Amino acid sequence: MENKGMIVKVGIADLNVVTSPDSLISYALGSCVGICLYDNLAKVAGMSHILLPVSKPGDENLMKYADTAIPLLIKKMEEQKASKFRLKAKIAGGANMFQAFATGNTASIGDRNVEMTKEVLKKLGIQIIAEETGGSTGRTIEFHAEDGILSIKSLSHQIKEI
Amino acid sequence: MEEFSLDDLNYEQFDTLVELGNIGIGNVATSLSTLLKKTINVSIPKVTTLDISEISDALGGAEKRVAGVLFAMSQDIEGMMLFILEEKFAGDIVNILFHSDTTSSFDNLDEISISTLKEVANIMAGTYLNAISKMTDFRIELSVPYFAVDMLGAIMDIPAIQFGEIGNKILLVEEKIFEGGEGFNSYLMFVPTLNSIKKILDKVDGK
Repeated sequence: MENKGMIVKVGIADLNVVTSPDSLISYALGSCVGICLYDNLAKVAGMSHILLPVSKPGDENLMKYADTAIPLLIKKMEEQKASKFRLKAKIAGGANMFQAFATGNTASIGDRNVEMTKEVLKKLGIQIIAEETGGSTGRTIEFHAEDGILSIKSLSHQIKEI
Repeated sequence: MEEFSLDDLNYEQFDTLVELGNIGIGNVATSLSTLLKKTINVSIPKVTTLDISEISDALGGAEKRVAGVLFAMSQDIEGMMLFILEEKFAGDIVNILFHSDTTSSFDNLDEISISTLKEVANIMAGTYLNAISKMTDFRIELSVPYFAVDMLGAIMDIPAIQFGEIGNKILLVEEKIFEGGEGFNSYLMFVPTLNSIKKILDKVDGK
């Protein structure tokens, strides 16, 4: 097998940046959202795995929330010579693992994570070119800095590339 | 009022939580043995605090396919109970209760099997919380059971959210459940909110 570079793990409330030929992986996203940004010229890929939509004052963990993690991810990518203006986004996750659990009449946390992610990306002028969100299945995602392809694995479907 | 955080927990408080888990799970083992007419053993409860980022690896394999039965707790104690069933154990429960040997994987779990697993989880969670109620004098109400079969890591997002709202660490009181001599990595998790943990500890310490 040819050497496809390293695979770097991104945990919950975590983010990472790699360059080609390396890849990023996040295991078993449930209601969390994986935000993948790619600069196809510099071949720099970034992945953020957020748990909650909106940050709380005083919480220093910026990587946990959609509104604070995305700007931080962009900053880290720029340090690797990516240009903010070339970044395109692919997002996955935001499932509702237990249908009807503790939702009342508000949207599920998965939906809110996806909504906030989209809102933040829009505000930053970053286009979402592919997404695989919602539903009720967990997803493992792998994002390749070589070509910007995002592979999505779940237990009930075949591996899908977007 | 001083803000309580999981970092403040001392050894004695950990011991209190272990003891509480012990009482809960002891009762569960008895009721499950009676129900299944089989020897059910349980581990000593493990009380752990971990970083949210580590949670999906903590129970061995984020992508492992498991069944999760989730309950919300309300009234005096808030939070959730989560029962994680490994495939083999889930199949055995259904087979024993229906006197069959056909259910061997999650792929052939039908509606009745799912209701059965929910009900067994309901009995277990209820027994566990009854014991804790008796010891603490707190009233704890359980929601209906919610059921999912999926990746372990994805299911663990639910307790991660509860703690993520207030910090970066999670506290689990987990018990491993064995059927006969084999361990099947099924877990019963008692996951009170941070406020409720404080309440329980204060009560038990006689404050």
